[in-house]
Amino acid sequence: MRRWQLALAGSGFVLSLLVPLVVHSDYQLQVLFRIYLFAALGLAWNLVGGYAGQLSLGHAAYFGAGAYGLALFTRAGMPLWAALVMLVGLAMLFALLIGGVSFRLRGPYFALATIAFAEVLHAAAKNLPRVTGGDVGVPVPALFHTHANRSFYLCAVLLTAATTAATFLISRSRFGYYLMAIREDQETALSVGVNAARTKLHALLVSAAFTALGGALYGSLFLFIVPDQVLSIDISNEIAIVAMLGGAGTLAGPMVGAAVLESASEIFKTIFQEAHLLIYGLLLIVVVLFLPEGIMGGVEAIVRRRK
Amino acid sequence: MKRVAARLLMLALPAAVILASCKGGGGQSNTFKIGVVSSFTGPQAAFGQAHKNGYTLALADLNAKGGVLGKPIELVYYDDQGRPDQAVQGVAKLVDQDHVPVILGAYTSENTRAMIPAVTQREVPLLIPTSVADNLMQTGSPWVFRVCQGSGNYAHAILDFLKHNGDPKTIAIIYENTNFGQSNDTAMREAAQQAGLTVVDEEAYQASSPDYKALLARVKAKNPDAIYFGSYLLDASTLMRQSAEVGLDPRYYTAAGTGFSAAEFPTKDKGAGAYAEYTISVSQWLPTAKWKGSKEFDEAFLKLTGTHPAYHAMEAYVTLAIAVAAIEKAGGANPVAIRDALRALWLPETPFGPIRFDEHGQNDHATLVTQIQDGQYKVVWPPDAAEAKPIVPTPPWNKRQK
Repeated sequence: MRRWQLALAGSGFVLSLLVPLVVHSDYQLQVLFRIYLFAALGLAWNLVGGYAGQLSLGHAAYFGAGAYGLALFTRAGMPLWAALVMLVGLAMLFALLIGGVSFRLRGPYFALATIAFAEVLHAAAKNLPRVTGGDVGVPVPALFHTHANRSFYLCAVLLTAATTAATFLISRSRFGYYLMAIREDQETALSVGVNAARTKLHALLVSAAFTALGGALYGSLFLFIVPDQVLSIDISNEIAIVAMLGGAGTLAGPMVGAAVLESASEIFKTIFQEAHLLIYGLLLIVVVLFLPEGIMGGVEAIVRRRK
Repeated sequence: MKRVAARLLMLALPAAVILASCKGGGGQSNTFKIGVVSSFTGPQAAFGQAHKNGYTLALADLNAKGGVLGKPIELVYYDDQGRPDQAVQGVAKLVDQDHVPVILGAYTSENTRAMIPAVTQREVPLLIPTSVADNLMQTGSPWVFRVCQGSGNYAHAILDFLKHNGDPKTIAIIYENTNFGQSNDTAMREAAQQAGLTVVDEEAYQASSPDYKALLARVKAKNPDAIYFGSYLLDASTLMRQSAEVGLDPRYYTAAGTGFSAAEFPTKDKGAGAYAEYTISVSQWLPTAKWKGSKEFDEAFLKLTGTHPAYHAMEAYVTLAIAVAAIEKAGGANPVAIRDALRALWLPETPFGPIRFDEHGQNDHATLVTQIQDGQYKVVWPPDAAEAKPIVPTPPWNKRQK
């Protein structure tokens, strides 16, 4: 990364932190919160889905572990910091189980296995009312009591910054090159001594940890969660789509994807009323048809052609 | 280069959201805005549309009478797509952006439950037209008012009907596995045990499932006298068709309203058609209800949509009327004043019957029991409201005329 790029990223971060000085509306902050939250989730997904090229469609498992972890660990009487540590641990435990089994599979079979695991957790949460409250739901403690929306927004910005930094460091490290080598050609990577299974698992562990923190933030903003909200396949899809639309395997891609997708969804809903999903679908089709590498992939290709 | 473009997009798009939303919220408006959250798209869209039709008719009636406080009423709709997180986002948008002093909604119990902390935090009254889960009224929030009856009353009404019409001894409960279904399951299990019935089976299912034959075969093996469904519309239709396929013949098919009392349910193209015949369900309102204005609403609805309304549309209609009455009484757009006006509200004459909220915010509404006879919902219980005699026990599938 060149110096001016670092400066740009840094100033973007500082500017983002200053946004609440200008934007006071809770609703606008909530939309911006969603954008940064999904940017962070997309970046976390990107480690596994983008850099390592393993299409995970089950990230709702870690997201839900975060949201439910916060609700259940605090209900059990744990202080907040301990609950946060525990929910990250819980998500990493799930990652260990899911990754340990699923990474033996490749391509579409891996994707199917991740969906299956997330759905198992979804069904378990629905059908264990004594533990999770079932579909009647469970209250989540408020992380912030005053200026809630502003605080949640800032937390989402910090989470995005943290995942960006982690992604940047990983993409420049030996670990990151291993991941990309596995994506490009797993056999070659194996033949030069990369332990593919372990490398992919490590990426998933990092990814799950960040995703769980995102889930905890999301659950606490809504104060109340049900399984269909935080463990559904919709969440898994949204996380994957954000990263792929923006450009999987690039640093800026998930951020761009989240900004486009989440703001488009809100704008379309206001303008087009019931037709909003139709327009939203059209947007996705256009991107897939004309920018198969995602928005940042397309931008990169144009830059390359110019040079 | 890549990053420049990325950063620009990152800044430009949220800016566009803010601009787009400012246009809607800014400036002094000449209308009185009321917020509505419902499921206009997604699996519950049929009910969201029923809501919208009810609100549309109420809006036309109320604006024809001069609106509220001298201003025409404007409804600001937010589509929750059947998702709880979107319903909560809707509360944020309607309150912070459109500055509505009262919100009506949502449709599903699950979405409504998710909205309650959000309205409580923002201190805006929520009027619930249709969601029946019992846990909605157990949060202790002083901002929640429910127009319809809850699932506890549903179970009692059905059991009361059964006791006086053959007195079955066993019952099986089949319910969709979200807040609405689970709440009805719990309510029926507890009420049935109290009434001395044996609950021989409880089966939960996912409403999006295309096939319930295995579940229905399990119920058939238990041979219950009566079945009680907690279902939405698509699942209700499929369940009845497949009950005929597996030859499930209880003496009573009963249900907790909703899908089993939707206007579409007895129709051939959008519901179960002839398979819906003889099913018994609770209902909150019917076009033939004795309350003044019911008939006029039915006619207006028929003119608007070409079909007769079910109670969901009426609940939306009356909920808007209640909100407007409370705003008139409060004399302005102050949410606290509107809440206090709702608490003290007494509307003796509405097409949905008398309206008065108890100290928990629950409207004391009568529950009717209906049966589908010749493709029409007929009130069969309680006796003072009945317009037809119930046909019990249900004829077995192989004895029915095709």
